[in-house]
Amino acid sequence: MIDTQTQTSARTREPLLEVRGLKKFFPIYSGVFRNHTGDVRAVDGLDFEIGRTETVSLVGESGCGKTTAGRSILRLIEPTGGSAVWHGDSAAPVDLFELDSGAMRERRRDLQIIFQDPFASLNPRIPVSGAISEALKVHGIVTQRDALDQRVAELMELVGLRPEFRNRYPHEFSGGQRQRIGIARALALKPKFIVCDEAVSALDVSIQAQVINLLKDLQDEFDLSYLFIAHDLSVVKYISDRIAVMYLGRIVEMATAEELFENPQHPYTQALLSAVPHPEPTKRRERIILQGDVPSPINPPSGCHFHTRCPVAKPECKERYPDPVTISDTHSAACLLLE
Amino acid sequence: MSDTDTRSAGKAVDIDARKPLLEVEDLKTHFFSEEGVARAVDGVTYTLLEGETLGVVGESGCGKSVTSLSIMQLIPNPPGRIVGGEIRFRGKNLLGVSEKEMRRIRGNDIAMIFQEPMTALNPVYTVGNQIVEAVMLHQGKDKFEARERAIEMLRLVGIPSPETRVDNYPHELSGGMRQRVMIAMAMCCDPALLIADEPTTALDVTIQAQILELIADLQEKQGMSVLLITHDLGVVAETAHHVAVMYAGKVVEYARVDDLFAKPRHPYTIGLFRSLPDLASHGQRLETIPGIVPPPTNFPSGCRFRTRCPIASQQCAEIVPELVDVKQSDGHAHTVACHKLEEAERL
Repeated sequence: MIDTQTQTSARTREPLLEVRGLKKFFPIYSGVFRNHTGDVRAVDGLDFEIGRTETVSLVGESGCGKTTAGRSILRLIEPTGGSAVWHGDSAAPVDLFELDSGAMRERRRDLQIIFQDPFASLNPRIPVSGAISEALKVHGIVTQRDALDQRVAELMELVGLRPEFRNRYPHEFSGGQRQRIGIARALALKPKFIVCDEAVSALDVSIQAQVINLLKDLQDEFDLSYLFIAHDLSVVKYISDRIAVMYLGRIVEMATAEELFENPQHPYTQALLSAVPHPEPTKRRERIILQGDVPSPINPPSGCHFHTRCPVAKPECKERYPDPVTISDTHSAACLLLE
Repeated sequence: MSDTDTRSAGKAVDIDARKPLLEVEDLKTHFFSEEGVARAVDGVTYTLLEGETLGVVGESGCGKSVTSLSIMQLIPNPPGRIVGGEIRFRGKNLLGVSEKEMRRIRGNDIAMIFQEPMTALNPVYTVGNQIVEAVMLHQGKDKFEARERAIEMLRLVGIPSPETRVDNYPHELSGGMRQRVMIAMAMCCDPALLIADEPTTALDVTIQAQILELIADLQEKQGMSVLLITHDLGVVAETAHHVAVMYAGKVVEYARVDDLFAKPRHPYTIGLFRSLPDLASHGQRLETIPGIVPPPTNFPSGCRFRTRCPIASQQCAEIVPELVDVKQSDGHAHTVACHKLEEAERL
């Protein structure tokens, strides 16, 4: 979707992960014989890359495929097609999608995930120390009890939790603290790359700010790269280096955070940005209100998927999917009106 | 279509000339459990004027939803009970009326919409039947008239082809459509007050924009008041006339929306605004409020914010601060509950 050449030429950072043509279809079986009758095209050809120490965000409304994309890259769900080339090792780059399950498990040391719901992502019967140390044991990195205890204490301190609480259970913590446990667990293996799947969405504003600051501090300290998946645009603007806007399984616009907010080119991005309520009552802005809902990804509209809600659609928008147009070295958008 | 016109028109009303529609005074709703008494709402005072939108903001557990459920008297008892205060609607104390009278007020005069339309709608009845039920009950219309009214209401809230949608079940509708149905149901008896409890929190931003526009539109057409409960300061900034900020079961600040956003006075409000990524520039560290909201079973003595407040003193631990009117230059009310207003200015 995005012009690869322009993206890499503008990149000063070395790439850490290159995603090309990522697809994930969920088959639909129906009828008496459970025949394969169609697919939910959740992710339909994504191209982007993430540089070292970079934060790239995927934004979009529910059902646009952003979570599926994040999980497919880590192969928590198996992608249908495409490649994700990992440059994290000194050895030759590897395509994560071609690794067998043993090799992929090995690789997951470097690739971790933080989930949205800190209530659902922690086992209520396992104390915090167990949740944090499990990965260390599974990967055989730390096996001795003392060393394990010490590492857990270090990790808890790192994310701002008191190590004395190590034997407490998840229900004894607040939402923000639970999210910190999730972060400590993700950091246990010293990863290079973390998918933050709506990592701060469930938190109150004052707690959200604490967790965002923590994520930034950790990034600086450990040279982490983040794939930040979120629907809250003000958080995304604040935390990202680059942002990809998704609509129905595809990236419609990609740019640096600044360019995207200053100069959005795709009509969907413009509508999305204008819909965000701002905490500044004296600034009256023109608002673009989109009509209707996001169409079903089972049977996406022909041509440009956005034409059914687009305020400036033309007849030809129904006919073919637009090619990405380069707006600047770091900015591209897929819209026929820009071609 | 932009909704700028409707919003500014809605907000341009001369709110000073309005009469109060709803006055909540020193309301206390406590929950009694084995772990002790949770003082979820513990002395809430605010006023909602006719035809205006009052935004009530605060973080989870501050008591904003319990306040609105108390107004409707929908607090599950046990464990909850309204233990003190007054709720005056058009001058009449709702806490003194009979359950029968209250049932007439609910739906007719005061209607409510909730955050999660899927759980608020009954999944085994068509949306039409659910609206028809309310219309027949409250307006004494027959089934046929009520169905006509249901279709008319669905059209009013912008549901396409309402004649067929009226026979849909809730699961056949999208989240935005379900919220529209909830609004249609709430509006079918022309209430004077609509309580909207996080009406857009579960929705995507583009759908949220549609719903907020719809509420502002209906407010203008019907002249109703809206009590908007939300945690989103952006939503409040764009829709409300007055704002009440709640913390730990109390209102800590109340002002006109422009005044509050131009110059918040309470240290909590100040901290809340600074935590917003929206107002910080890229790369700059977000300011945070240290610590977490205290549990309602164990609020600190004195000012409840003092454990997280950068300027708290001994006095704050001993004396509960009352809401004091600091008045804007044009004489408009701006009330704050803080002992340290002068220090807060320098925050």
